[in-house]
Amino acid sequence: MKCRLAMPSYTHAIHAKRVLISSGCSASVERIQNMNSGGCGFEIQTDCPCERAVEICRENNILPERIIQGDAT
Amino acid sequence: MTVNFDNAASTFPKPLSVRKAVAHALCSCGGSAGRGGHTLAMRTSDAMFSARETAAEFFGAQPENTIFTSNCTHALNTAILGILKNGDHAVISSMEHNSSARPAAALAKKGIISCSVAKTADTPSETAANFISAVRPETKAIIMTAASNVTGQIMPFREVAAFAAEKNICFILDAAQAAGVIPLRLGGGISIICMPGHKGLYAAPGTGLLITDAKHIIDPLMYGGTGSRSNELSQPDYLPDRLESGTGNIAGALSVQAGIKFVSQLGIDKIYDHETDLCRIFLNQLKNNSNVIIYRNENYSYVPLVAFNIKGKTSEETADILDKKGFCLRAGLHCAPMAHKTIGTGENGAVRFSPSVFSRESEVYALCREIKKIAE
Repeated sequence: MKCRLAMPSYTHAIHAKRVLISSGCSASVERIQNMNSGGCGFEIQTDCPCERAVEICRENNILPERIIQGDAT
Repeated sequence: MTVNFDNAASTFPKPLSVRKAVAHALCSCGGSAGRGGHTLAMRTSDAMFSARETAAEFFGAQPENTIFTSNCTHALNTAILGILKNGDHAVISSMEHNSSARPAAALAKKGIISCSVAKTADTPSETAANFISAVRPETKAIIMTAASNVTGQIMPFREVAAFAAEKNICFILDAAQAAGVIPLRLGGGISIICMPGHKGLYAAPGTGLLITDAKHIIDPLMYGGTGSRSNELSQPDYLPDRLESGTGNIAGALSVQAGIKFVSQLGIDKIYDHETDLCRIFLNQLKNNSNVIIYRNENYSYVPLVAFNIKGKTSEETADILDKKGFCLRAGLHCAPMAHKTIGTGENGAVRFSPSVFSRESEVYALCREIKKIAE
């Protein structure tokens, strides 16, 4: 898994999963992150680089909370 | 025999697909959407998003900006009370339902806002002009029904919305009688669309939608758990969480999805044509009866419903006689006293005939025969 993105809510997480998959990335929604870190606990795991994944999300007006793992540059 | 001609209140019967969707939700979606990562919760979250996505696509919105509510009144209250702030001015029409008029009036009564009522005139262009002339520099929102729930009269909402966009005024459309009957999408100045699920979208009662372009910030009507930012006391500032607190109605949301698919597959134009044909039969059967008063203005277009009265009878008496013959029609003021005052039925109200896609010609002819007997 190249990238893990914390999402603001399950709605955004599932939406992100849909747009990432339709853009050719594999993606799944997991709820394993610590709730104390903010967000909703839902994260996106994708095999696309974070930079690309974040770009795809932003193009679809989905704003990830933060990058948990991976490189955005 | 019981025939529902009160579909403007709630469509019945419901399509099989809607009934199956509710059953599926109650049988399979055991978790709470957005709460928990276990199998049942994730299944429900996926289903809820899918329903949101279907509604968003149908009304030209982002899924995140598609808010599930408990009915159209809930959606309108959320929009009106969430947008208007101290010192703002709002414009509503004289055909509004209490679901719009009461929250606006409540804010005005508390001295928070001022509110103008734009008179519904003899022609759509005059009505639009009345709205435009009511606008002031401090006007924050225009709230307008797409079609009157009393007469079915379609208001010139597209013209007024285009004007609102030029002035950066939030245009809130009450689509209670229009959603699923005439094509509606965000854009063209329409900032927010509020609607029930259980009328023209054929969903379960107790469902509604607030669709927004998110250009105007809506403060929550209700605060609470959203499954997100749970470590903070403040409500999340993003949609849909900002406006959806507490466990969502998954059975209702899936019924809305099934209802929208039903309308889409059948075709909104076909539904409109069928119901309008039934109204035409109704009008042709009764228009020459001197004891039947029909409330229509030929300068306007109409969604498929007809308001009428029989001379010498109160609206309630007429509806009661028809009910005993197996026909369910709504009488009275229809929660829209301003609209009744506008058409001159503020005292007696009117009887409303409103068919659905499941209504049949033979049922309309049978109804008209009974109305003619009462009118003799």
